[in-house]
Amino acid sequence: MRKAGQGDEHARGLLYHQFAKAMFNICMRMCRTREDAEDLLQESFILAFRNLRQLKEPAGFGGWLKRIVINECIRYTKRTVRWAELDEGHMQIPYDEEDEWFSDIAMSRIHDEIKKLPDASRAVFNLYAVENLSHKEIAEALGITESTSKSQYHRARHLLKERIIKIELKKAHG
Amino acid sequence: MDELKKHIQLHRAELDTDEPSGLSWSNMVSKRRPVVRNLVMRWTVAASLVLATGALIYFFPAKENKTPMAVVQVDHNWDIRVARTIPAITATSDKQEKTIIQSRRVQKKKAPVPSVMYGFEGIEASYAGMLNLQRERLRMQPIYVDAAYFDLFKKQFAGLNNQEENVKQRIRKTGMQDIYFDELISIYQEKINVLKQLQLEINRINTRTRQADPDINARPPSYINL
Repeated sequence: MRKAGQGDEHARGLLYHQFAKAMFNICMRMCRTREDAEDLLQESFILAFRNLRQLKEPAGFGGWLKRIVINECIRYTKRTVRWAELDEGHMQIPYDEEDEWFSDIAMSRIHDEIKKLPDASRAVFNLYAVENLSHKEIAEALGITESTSKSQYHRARHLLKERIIKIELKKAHG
Repeated sequence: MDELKKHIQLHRAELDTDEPSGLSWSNMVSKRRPVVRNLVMRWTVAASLVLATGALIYFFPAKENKTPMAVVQVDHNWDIRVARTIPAITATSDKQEKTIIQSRRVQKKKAPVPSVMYGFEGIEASYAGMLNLQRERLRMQPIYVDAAYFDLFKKQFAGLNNQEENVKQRIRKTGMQDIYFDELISIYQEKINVLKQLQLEINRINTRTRQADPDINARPPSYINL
């Protein structure tokens, strides 16, 4: 970590290869395209390496890097997502909490479908369900209301269930 | 926490199925912030040429006569420096005439020299400063109608923000070019214009509202958030 902070490319490379996959997947879920995700990943690491000396606990690098990546993803979302769409998402769609439709679904399938969600729902779903931010934190970060955040999450859950179940039914019937 | 979220949190690591491309690291190592090299180089050369030319003209004016080499006296008593050229005394010349060719007032303060390091970041900072100042003024201005009346300006401004980010993304990908520079300048100018128009519209509406209802000041105003 000390060497990486001093600009040692080899040390930085080791850190990169240790954390790149996890960080890349955060970016892939938040971004529209793979290219955007790659760019965001690189920007985040560059930012992290540039500010590495601010990190007091080397052991906390992973969590610290993740916060940088999430912040960069939030900035990306604020730039690219048109929040005017949210007005339509305020409808309360009934969701059956008892139904654990996802229990037999592979996480890779869920990951694929998350990436296909509409921009606004995808951003909120990732931040809430995957990155475990509260709706209040999401609202503050994205400049939206808590109500909008909850509505978009609700919408995302509904869409995920609808799409995944549809795919599974198709597979089942050949 | 709903069951889906619990499930995702429990199996979080299994979500990470994508791999970054093998080129990501090497791209990162070779990646530099786009340097406005060409533009800054051009400005630097242009500024240097102007300064050099100006210095040549200032310090070495064209000789209008064939007066022999002159002696320059500089008066240090005051800030005003008076340069006198006194023709050198030559053995061949019987008549010597002292001529004061020019007196110049030299400024105490040197003329500002444009920084050779003034790249695009400086321009952006200047515009950002102006925009932030105007935005702050607008935020603090009481409005005596529903603030939603001015939503069109907010949408326009948000649209310009998006345009700005799009151009910056292109710059990050391909480097700074003249066309992007021009686009950004236009966007910044348009942003300033939108804020100015918004200010004028707020003033107009407030005046009209006060004229229609003199007691309006007694009611709590609204404020615009830009």
